[in-house]
Amino acid sequence: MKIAGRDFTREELCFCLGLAVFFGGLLIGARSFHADSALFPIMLSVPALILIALYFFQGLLPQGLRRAIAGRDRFAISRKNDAEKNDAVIEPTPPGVWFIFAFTAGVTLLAWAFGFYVAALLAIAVYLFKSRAAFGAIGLPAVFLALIILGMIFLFDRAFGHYYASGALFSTRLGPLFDGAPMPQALSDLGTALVTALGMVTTLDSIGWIILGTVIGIVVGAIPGIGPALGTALALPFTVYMDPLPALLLIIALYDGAMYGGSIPSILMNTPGDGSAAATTLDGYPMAKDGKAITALTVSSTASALGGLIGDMIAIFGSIFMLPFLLLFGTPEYFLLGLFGIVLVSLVSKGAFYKALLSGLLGLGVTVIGIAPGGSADLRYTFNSLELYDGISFLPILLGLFGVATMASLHAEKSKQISVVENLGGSRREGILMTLRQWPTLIKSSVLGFIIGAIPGTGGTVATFVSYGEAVRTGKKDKIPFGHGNPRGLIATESANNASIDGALIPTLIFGIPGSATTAIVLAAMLLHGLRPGTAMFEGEGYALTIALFLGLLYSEIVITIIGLASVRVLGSLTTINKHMIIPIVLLLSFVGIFSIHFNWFDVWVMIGAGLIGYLMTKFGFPVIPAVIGVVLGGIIEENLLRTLELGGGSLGILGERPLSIILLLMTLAVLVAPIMKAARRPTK
Amino acid sequence: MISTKLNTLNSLNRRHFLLGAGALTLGGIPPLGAAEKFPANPIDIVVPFGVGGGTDIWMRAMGIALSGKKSLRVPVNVRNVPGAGSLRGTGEGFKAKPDGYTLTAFNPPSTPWAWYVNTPPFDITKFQGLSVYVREPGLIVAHPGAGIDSFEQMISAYNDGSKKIIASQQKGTIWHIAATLMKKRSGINWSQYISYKGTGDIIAAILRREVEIGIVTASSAQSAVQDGKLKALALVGTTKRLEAYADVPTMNEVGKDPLEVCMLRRSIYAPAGLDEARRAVLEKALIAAQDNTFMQAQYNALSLQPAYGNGAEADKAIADSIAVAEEINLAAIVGKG
Repeated sequence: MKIAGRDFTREELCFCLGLAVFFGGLLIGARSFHADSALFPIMLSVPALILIALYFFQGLLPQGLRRAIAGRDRFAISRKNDAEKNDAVIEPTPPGVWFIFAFTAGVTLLAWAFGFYVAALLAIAVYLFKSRAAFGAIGLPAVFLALIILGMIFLFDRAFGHYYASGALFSTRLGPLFDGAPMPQALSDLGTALVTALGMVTTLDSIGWIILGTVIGIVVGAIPGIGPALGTALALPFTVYMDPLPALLLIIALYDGAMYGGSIPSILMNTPGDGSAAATTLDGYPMAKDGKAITALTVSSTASALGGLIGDMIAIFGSIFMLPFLLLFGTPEYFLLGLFGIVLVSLVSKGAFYKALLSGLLGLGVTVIGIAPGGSADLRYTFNSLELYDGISFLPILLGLFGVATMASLHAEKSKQISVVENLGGSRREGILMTLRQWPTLIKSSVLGFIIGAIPGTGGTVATFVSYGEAVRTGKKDKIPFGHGNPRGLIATESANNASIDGALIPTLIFGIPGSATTAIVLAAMLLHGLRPGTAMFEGEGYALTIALFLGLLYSEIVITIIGLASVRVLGSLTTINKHMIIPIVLLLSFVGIFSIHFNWFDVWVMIGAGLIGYLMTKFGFPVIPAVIGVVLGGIIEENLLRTLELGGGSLGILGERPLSIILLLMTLAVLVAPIMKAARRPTK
Repeated sequence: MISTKLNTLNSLNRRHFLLGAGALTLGGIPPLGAAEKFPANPIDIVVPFGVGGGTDIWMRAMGIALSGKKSLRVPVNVRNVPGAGSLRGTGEGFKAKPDGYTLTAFNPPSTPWAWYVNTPPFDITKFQGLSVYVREPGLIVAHPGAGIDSFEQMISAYNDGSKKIIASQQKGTIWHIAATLMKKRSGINWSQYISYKGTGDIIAAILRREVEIGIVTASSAQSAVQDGKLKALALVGTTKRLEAYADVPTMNEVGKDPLEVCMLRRSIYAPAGLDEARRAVLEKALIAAQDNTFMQAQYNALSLQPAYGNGAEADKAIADSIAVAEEINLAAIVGKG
């Protein structure tokens, strides 16, 4: 239908209206809060509503202005979508996409009612029935599918206690049957067995632990939803009987392995296992789509290992000198760093800057739900529901925007596999050479990753996006554009990712201030083994131990390289097998993984909803990355903005008094102004 | 020797496999003779916090201790139900069947205060206490450059206006209430309260001298205090000095209210209606488990002592929290009055 001077499909109209209702709701709801709680929602919703109006009424703008605000979306998930779509006719959504959303929603309801095992079996049956043509005869593949999915649910079941077998209406749980002969004393037996196994392995010395940790880490990191934090937390109790060094080596190697492991599903299926792997999807997945999965995986493991190596070196030789620098980062600087992150990412997403900004505001807008960070601690937009008290968590949104949305587009595509070419190209040699040739990017990203990782509270996610932004800034003349499989983008994110671990350990070891959830577990492991963070960790014996930890990371990077390079061919071939094997596995695993974070059905619905919104955003030319970064940074920005105001007695003047604040402020302004200046200098093109 | 241990491992795997296979078949047949023996089934401990949090780490150690041969001899699983400032999990634990197979770990006064303010649909005072396993006091710390060497100096600095700010966690949390009670009961007149998310953030803020004085959990500040980066002024919530802070006074030593309600009493509860025989079994096991190697490793890690507190103490901890909440009109303090 034609509204405001241009054609709208029903979907686009709903999308537009949905955005307006969301931000309008934020604005109206803000009236009932205390001033400090209302500030941030108002700051977000007012500009957002203006941008929505711009989007809605763009048909009424003069042609020249329309062109100026439109632009190419560099973060399109699928290659089909990145045509210049602002003037193009938007194709109707293929029914396959709706099937995937209906499918995930159906599985959620089934699992809620009958438990995960029954739901998974029924889901596989429905999926196979629907896609039977693609499978040919439903035989072995179906059995494979069922075994993999049920096996994974069983692993979750064992790791987290019995949540998975019982539903609200029906239960497959059989616990009591085993009670005649009492249940195996799972935990104590496992403890004893582990201690025995541990006693046997320790003779192989620390390296054994490092290999074990790294391998577990890679596997755990590759499962969507289980990231390094959950992985290390589950390993922690088993380290009690170990000596301090092996215990910490195990935990740290697991951390390192998980950070790398997260990149595998990011590259192959556009489904990041964890926030710090989100940026990897940007160029990793397009490479896999082009049939270069082997090269992409090689680049990822080489860059991860080399980035980690550079991080280790900085940590070993430079950590002591970092103390004064870390203390410069106070509340005002956190606020500005968050702001810088959002602006940088919106800039990197090029083209339709207003759409990127709106996407960022949407991400930020989601974070105002739940208990407010300011002094008044109002409950905002919770509709009296305890589920919303802590707000909407990040991982369901991440997995929705990437995993679910990607599977929906993949399902609707005509190709039979993830890769658009039939045969896998690329090689290990090519990947390694590619990485080494980009040594300046590698070094720069590792240093950036290390520094940002060392600032408590930021962590790997911000580090990877900032390095990616920097790579985009310097790599404008590259043959392959960013977002279309430019290996430089992959190198930047992967090296920053692993270097951020070394950085994050520094404040943990020196002050006992963990910068992220995973370093909090490392801290717990240290305390558990009688090691106190503090200057003692940088003197005498303590210092030797600190160095040993970083050396442990270094060994773990060697393990990553070996395992990574050995497995690329097998993993890469996942992009050429029948996509109907991949889709249900990724969907059901994301679903079980997300449920397992808080054991909350609400999170699963958030994931499905985010998937739908992510799909529509991509379709209408809104980059999803600023939204992701917005969700990560929203809490940091608001909390520190309010505290900056408190510390400054109600004014932001304090920002102009601190040297580091001024630098960050100037950097943000430069990033904002530079493209405008450039455009002004070259008015015709 | 080694081969027997390998066999144990093998049989373990086999049993796990059987368990998995069993889970797929349908059922719910009641166990034979379960009524005579308690516990005969696996026990769940609901932890209303996320995996890897303080309470989670404690309960995973406790689970291993309880499932041991000298203890309850059944598997004890940790079930994390985080969210809503621990109220979601606490609510779930409350609604469980009172058969002794579902316990809930939460920490007065924090959880009762969150309950008092948010009034979720269950009555926290009806929980039956089983044991208090840790008592963690708070600690008032200052930046060494702030010119404050003792608790008395701090009081006069606040009262003569030369210091204004006190920092700690968000409104309604334990150390915010401690700061409020300090003002109300002992006339320590700080004038601005600045809140940070976690104890680590508060310590970091004091280290970089963004704020100069704050209240934190005693065990979290040890390294910084030992390194001389923070000055410990007084212990909050206790009338006994701590081994780890032998020369730091308690507030009552200086003639002020010790604010005994403001001590984190990590405890374990059962839902209302548990029969007395089972309650006694669990209480005894939980107190004894505090001597287990896994639990001892935890205590040593944080320089804390086992509390060996019984069910009555755990019950009292909830009652005291609620009494104080009413005394200070907590709902109004956090803007919900």
